[in-house]
Amino acid sequence: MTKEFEKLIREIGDCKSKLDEDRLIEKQIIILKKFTKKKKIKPKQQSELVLRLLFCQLLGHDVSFAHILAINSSQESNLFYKFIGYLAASIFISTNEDLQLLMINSIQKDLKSDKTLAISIALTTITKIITVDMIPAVLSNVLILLKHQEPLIRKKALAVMYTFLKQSPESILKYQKDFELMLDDKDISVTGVALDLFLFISKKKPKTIKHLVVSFVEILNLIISGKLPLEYDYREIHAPWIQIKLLKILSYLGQDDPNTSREIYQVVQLVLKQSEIGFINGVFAGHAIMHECIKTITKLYPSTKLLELASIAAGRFVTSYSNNLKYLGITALTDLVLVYPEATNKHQIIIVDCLEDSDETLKRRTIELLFRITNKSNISFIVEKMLSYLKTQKDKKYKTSLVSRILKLAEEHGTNIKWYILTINKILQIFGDLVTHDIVYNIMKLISEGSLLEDEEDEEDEEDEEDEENGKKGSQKTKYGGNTALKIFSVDIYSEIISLKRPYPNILYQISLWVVGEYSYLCSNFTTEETMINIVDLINAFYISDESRAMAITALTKMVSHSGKYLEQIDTIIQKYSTSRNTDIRQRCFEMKGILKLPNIIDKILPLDSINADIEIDPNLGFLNEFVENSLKNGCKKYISKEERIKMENELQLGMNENKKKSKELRFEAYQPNNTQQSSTWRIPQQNIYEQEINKNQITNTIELEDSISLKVSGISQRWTENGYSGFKENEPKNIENQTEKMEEKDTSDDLNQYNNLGDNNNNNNDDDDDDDDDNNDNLNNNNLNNQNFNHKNEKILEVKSFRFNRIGSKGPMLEEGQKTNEKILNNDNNNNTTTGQQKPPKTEEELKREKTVNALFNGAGSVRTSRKKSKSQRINFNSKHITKNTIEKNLEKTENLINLGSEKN
Amino acid sequence: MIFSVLIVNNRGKPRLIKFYVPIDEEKRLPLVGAIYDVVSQRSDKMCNFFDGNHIDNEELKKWGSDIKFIYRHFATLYFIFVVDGTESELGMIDLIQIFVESLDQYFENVCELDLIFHTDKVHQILDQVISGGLILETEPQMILNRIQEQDDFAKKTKKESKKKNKKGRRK
Repeated sequence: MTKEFEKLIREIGDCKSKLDEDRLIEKQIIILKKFTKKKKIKPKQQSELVLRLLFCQLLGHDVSFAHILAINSSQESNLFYKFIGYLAASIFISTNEDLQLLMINSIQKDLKSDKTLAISIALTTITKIITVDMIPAVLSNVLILLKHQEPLIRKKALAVMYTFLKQSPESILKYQKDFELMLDDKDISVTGVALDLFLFISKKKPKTIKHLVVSFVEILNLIISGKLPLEYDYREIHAPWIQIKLLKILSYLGQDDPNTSREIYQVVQLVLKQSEIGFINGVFAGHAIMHECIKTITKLYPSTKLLELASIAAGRFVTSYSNNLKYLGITALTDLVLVYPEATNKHQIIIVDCLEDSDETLKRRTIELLFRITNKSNISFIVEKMLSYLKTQKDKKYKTSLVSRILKLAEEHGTNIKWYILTINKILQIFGDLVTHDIVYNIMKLISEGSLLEDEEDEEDEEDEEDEENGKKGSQKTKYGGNTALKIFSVDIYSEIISLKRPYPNILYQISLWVVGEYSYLCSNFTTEETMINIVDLINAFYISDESRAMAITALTKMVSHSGKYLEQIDTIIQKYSTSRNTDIRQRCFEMKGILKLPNIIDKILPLDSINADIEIDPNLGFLNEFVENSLKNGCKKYISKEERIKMENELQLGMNENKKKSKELRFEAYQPNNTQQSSTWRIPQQNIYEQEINKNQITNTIELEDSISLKVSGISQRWTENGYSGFKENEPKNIENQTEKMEEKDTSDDLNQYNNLGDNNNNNNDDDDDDDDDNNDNLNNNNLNNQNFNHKNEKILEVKSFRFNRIGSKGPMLEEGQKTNEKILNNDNNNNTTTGQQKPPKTEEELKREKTVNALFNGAGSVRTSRKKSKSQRINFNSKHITKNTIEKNLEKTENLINLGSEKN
Repeated sequence: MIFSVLIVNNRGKPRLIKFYVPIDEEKRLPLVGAIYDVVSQRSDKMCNFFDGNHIDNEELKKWGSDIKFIYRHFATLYFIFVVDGTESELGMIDLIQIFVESLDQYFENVCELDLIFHTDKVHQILDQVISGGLILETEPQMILNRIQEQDDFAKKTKKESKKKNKKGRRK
C-alpha cells in the first residue's frame, strides 16, 4: 500500500461531515481517471488503483469508468494481483453483461491452470458473476473439477454448481448422479457442500431424491457417532452445520409421507438426545441442532412420541434466559401447535410473560403464537394481554392489522356475547380510528338479531340463579328475532357512553347512536328524555364528526317517534342544522321536520324494532302504473327502452344517406334537452333543481360554466332548427378582451334586469328575499342560475363569501350551496349582454371538444386564481359558422398566455 | 443459503459489502442503509435476529419471503448476515463467530482500521468461509492455513518476477 492511499484513508477517517468526505473522494476519482487514461501501468500500481476504486465504491461513489482496470488486473500472471483483479471485478460487474463476457476468457484459462490457488480464485469469481448465458462456457471445466484431488477445489466446484442450479435448474439436474457420488466423499466438508445442492432439490422436487433417504440417515448417524476427525467438531459438537442441513433435507423429504417419515424417526430422536449435551454446554450450535430437530419433527408425518419430545425441547428454549433462545422457542412453538395443540399447555404463562419483555421482535412473535393458541377458555385473558400490549405500540400499520385480528379472534372464540360487546367497546374506545366500518355493521347485526353465541349465553344465564330472570327474558324472542335481554344490556351500555360526553372515536358514537335510537324504549338506566338531552348535547359537541352528527339526528327522530315525547331542544337543533354545510345533516334535519309534522303515520315510517323486518320491494314499480296510464291518456309519449331506441336509430341510419344521417344525429343526440347534461362534481346537489326550474319557466340559456368540467347545453334544441340558427351575432375572436358570451332570455326581460341588478349589487338578492315569500325561491333559483351564466363574461370576478347568503340560506337551504358554487359574480359588463331574441348557434362535436379544452384550461389556472381574491378571466365563445379552426387555435394560445400572465401577476 | 454478508460500523459506514446474488450497484447502498437502520435501533439485550418484514425494500422481496437477518455487534462493528429459511439462526450466529475469530487471528486483535486497510484480505478470508452463498469451511485454523498458503505463494511469485526482471535487465 502506498503512502498516498494510506493518507487518503486517514483523511477520510478524520472527516467530520459527509460533504467533506464526498469532496475528498471526488478529488481522488479525478486522479484515478487520469491513471486510467495512461496506456502502461505497472501491475503493482494497477492493483493499488483497483484497491482505491474498491474503497471509493464502498463509500457509494460511481467508479464504472475504471472497471476495465479490474479486468486487466485479473489477467496478470501474479496470483496476488490476479486475486485483487478478480475480487474487484466480481464486486464491480455483477450485473454488467459486456464486462462479464470479457471476464469469461480469463476465467476459462484459469480453470485449466495447474495451480490450485488460481483455480480456486476463478471458481469463487464464477459464483459471483455468473449468468444463465455463461453457464455452457464453463460447465464442462467445472464438471471435471468436481473430481479434483484437492477437497477445497471440489467444494468450490460444488458451490459453482449450486449457483448454476439456482439459475437454471433444468439443465443442471441431469448431473444429479455426479452429485450423488460426492455424498460419499472422503472429506465430510465436501459432503456438506453437496448437501446444499440436495437441500435445494429436496425443496423443489422432493420425489426425485426419495431413494437417497437411506444415505442421508447414514451420514447423520455417522456424524453423531463421533467417528469423524476432530477438526470437524465445533466446541465438542460434531459438524453442527452438516447436521442442520441433513435435518432440513430429511424434513422436506418426510413431509406428508408416512413411509419416509418412519425411516427418519429414529435418527431424529437420536440427534435430539445428543443435542441436549450441547444445550448444557451453552453453545449456540448445540441449540441450533435442537431447534432444527423440533422443526423437523413438526414437518414430519406426526408421531406422538416425537411431538412430545419436541414440545419438551421447545419448553427448554422458552424458559431459557437468552432472548435468542426464547425467540426461537416461540417460533418453534408457533409451528408446533398447528400439529400438536397440547404443546403449549405447560408453557402458557411463560409465553404470555414474553409480551412484557423489552424485545420487540420477541413480542411480535409471541403475539403470533398467542393468536394460534387462543381458545374458548383463555380468550378473555389473552385478549386483555394483547390490548395492553397494543397500547404500547407506535407503528400504526401494525396496530391496525393487530386490532382487526383481535376483533376477529374475539368473534371466533368469544363464548359470551356480553363480554364480546364490552370488549369491542373497549377496543373502540382506544383504537376506534383503526377499525374498519365492517365491525359497526357486525355489532349492529349482532345486537338486533342475536347470534349463535347468544344461545350458549342463555344456557349460562339459566344455570346462574341470579340471572334467572334475565335468562327467561332473554329466551323471549321478539317478533323479528333477536334477544330482548341483550338489547336491554347493550342499550344501557351505549346510553351510558353517550352520557359520558368524552371525545371517544366517532365509530363508537355511531354504534351507540344507532343502538340507542333503535332501542331507547328498552333502556333501564336512563329515561328517554335524559338520553335525548344527552344526544342533543352530543350533537352540539365539537369532537364528533358530521357523519356521527347526522346519525344523532336520525336517532333523535327515531326516539321521538317511538316515545312520542318531544323536547324543545330538538327545535333548536333542527333550526341550527337545517343550514348546515353538510348536505347529509341538512337532509336528515328536513326529514325529521317532515316526519314530525305527520303524527298519524309516524309509527308506520319508523316502526319499533323493525331492523330485521323484510321490506317488500316491487322492482317493477307497479304502483306507478296508474300514473303512467293517466299520463299516456293525456298525450304523453310512451317510454322507449334503450335497446329499442338503439335499434330504431340503426334502422334510421341504414335507410338514409350520409347528410341526412348527420342531421338526424344532431337532432337526436346532442341537442335533446336533458340528454346532454353532464354533472360536474361540485354542482351535484343543485343541478337537478336548476334543471327543474329551467323546464318550468322555459328559460333557455346556454350554460357555460367556467369552472364546470363539462358542458351544460340544456335547451339548445329549442333554438336550433334544421335550417340552422338565424340572427346570431358574431363575436370578435381576435380580441379576446372584448369577447362576450351571448346570452339570451326568451321569456322575460324583467328577469334579466333582475339579474343585471344582481350583478351590480349583490344585496339585491337579499332584498328580493325579504320582499317575497316562498314563490320567490323560484326566482332566486333563477338568479343563481343566471349568475352562473353571467359569470363568464370578461369582467372582474369577486369571490362570493357564503355569509352573504346566510339569510337566503335560512329560507331555502339549497340556495346557499348554489351560491357557494358561484364563486365569482359578475361586475360591470352586463351591458354587453344582448337581450335580443336571437338564438345561439349549436356546436359541432369538434367545437364541443374545443370548448371543453378551454374550460379545462380555465380550470387549471382557476385553482390558482380563485385562491387569490381578484383576477381577470376571459371568456371565449365559439361560433361554428364563423370561426375557423385557425382562429380557435389562436384563441386557445392567447387564452393560455393570458392565464399565465394572470397567475404571474397575482 | 446466505444472500449477503455486511460489515457496518456504529455510524452506518459500510466496511464490507458482499452479495451472493446479483444486485444492481445503485441498489446496494440503500439496502445496506435500510438494514443498518433496523439493526442500529435494536438494543444489545434484544435477540440477534429479525425477519425480512421489518424492512421494506424492493430488492429484498425478490429474494423470497423467508428472509432472515442475523447480526452480531462487536465493539464498533456490526456483522450482518442475510439468509433464507434454509439456514439456522443459531448456526449463523456461530458462523459469524468463526468469521470474526479468523479475522482476529489473522490480524492479531482485529479492529476497524484493519478492515479498511486490508479490504482484500478480509474478502479472501470471507471467501474461504462462504462461497456462492454456501458454507465451505467452519474451522478457523483451516481458513488461516489457506490464507497463509496464498500469501506465501504470492510472495514467491513476486520474488520470481523480480528475479526475472533483474535477469532481463542484465541481458
